[in-house]
Amino acid sequence: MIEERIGVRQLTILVIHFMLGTSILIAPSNLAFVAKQDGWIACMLGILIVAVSVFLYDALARRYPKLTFTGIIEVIVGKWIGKLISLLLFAYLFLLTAFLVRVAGNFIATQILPETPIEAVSIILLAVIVAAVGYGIETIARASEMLFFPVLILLALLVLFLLPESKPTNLLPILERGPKPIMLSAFYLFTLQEVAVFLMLYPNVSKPEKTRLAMLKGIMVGGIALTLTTTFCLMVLGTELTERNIFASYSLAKKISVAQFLRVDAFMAIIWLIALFFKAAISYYGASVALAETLGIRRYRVLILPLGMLVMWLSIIVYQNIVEFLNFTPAIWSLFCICFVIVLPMLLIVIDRLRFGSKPGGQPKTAGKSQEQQPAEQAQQTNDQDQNGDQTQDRQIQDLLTDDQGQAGEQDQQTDNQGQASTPDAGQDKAADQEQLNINGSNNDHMPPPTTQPLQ
Amino acid sequence: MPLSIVWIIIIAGIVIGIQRGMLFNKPNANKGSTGEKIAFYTLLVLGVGLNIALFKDWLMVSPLNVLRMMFGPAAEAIAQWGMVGK
Repeated sequence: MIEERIGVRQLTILVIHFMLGTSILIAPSNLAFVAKQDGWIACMLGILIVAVSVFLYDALARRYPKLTFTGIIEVIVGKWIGKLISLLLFAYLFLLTAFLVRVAGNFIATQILPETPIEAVSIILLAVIVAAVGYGIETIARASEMLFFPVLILLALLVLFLLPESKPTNLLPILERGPKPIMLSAFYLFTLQEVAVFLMLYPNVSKPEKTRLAMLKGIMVGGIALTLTTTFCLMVLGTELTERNIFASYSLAKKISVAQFLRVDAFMAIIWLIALFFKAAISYYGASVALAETLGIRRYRVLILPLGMLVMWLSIIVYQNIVEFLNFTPAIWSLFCICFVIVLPMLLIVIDRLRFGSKPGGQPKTAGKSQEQQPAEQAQQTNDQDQNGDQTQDRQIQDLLTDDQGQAGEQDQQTDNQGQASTPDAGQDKAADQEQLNINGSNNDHMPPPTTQPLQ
Repeated sequence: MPLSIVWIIIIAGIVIGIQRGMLFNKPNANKGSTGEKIAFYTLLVLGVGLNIALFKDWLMVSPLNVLRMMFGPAAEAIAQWGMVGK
């Protein structure tokens, strides 16, 4: 079985893209609507809250480094209640994906291709997202690395071109309406970020001990980009124009004229569409894995295509027009989000401490376990029962491996395709090594933790 | 039959073809458990049905109404505080 692994740097870049998706285009308008000229302060405060929330997720993930969010839920609250909550989590991630597809469709159909029906735009975007998730999280992470520097350069150019147009006096007076609007706007921005989705990816990170730092770095860089965009919106467009424009940063880019012919507004569209693609892909990946684990399906890829058809439906029916969306997000969506990004992780931490004390709870009996883990765990149980029967146990492990060979063939083929193993027996060797470690009771701290999610 | 429904059925056929070719009928590989197949076909039927219902205007109620009912009162309280949509 191949474990999909993403590096620490890849995680950081994914977080940056995730932070920019939706927010960079929509957030400035809403921040200015509530906090007026203090929108930039609200933005910074919101980013700070996002950074603090990472410690919450980290506290949970450190207890269960090998489990995804749904796996953790099932361990802590029990199988059936856990499955119910996992289904709600799936609904949240699924809805988030549909929202993202719809917002992108709205943007393209209203700003760039007004003659094109939104369904056509959504189908094309969804096809790319489904294909990306089908290739796996490793591929998404590599693509994010490749597209990171173009995005960074375009963002830097945008800021550079906007400098002559900016009027810092538009940011004055500071705190004119007191701290309340700023806090409300910051709360809204926080709920737009939804970095709790990364709890579905934590087991895939190659160095779990560095996950928190990687997340914080990503949030910081993404937060700086967001704050810069909001600040420039306010400085160039002013408070009134920023709050009236739904896609304020796109209107901001339209203000730029380079040598009377270069259209810089495309820069903003490209940045946003790339970021939104990654945000939607991560959410969709999370939703697929969450549903697969909840239903006890070993391969999340089985669900990707039919779920895509459901996302298509939901993205069209989810709201009638962009105004309905803008009314919906600050209040109802924010509260719905809070249930999953703050309330649920906090409750899980409290229940975990009360139920299991200082030691984390047992492993869930999900069908999403990797194929090496299953024989490895069976071998471990045999080891506990009969510690003196080493030879018998070795024979059992060999039998299990032989039984599993048919499935390993496919995995080995995939390994070859991804260039991660040079021989067809690499998957088997890896499984055998893992089992040997388990049997010997070796400390696995230096080994990448196996995931319990289906990753074929 | 309206063209939109024909397209939905064609897309569903393509989805089944891709799924069978890449996951369920792949040579020398895991052909997929019964549970996987049940989940796949259930979701596919649901997806096709809902898309047809959408294009035929049989189902125009957004699932967000459930959220509106659940979080409506709390949202109103927040709106009174000053956090409102446009």
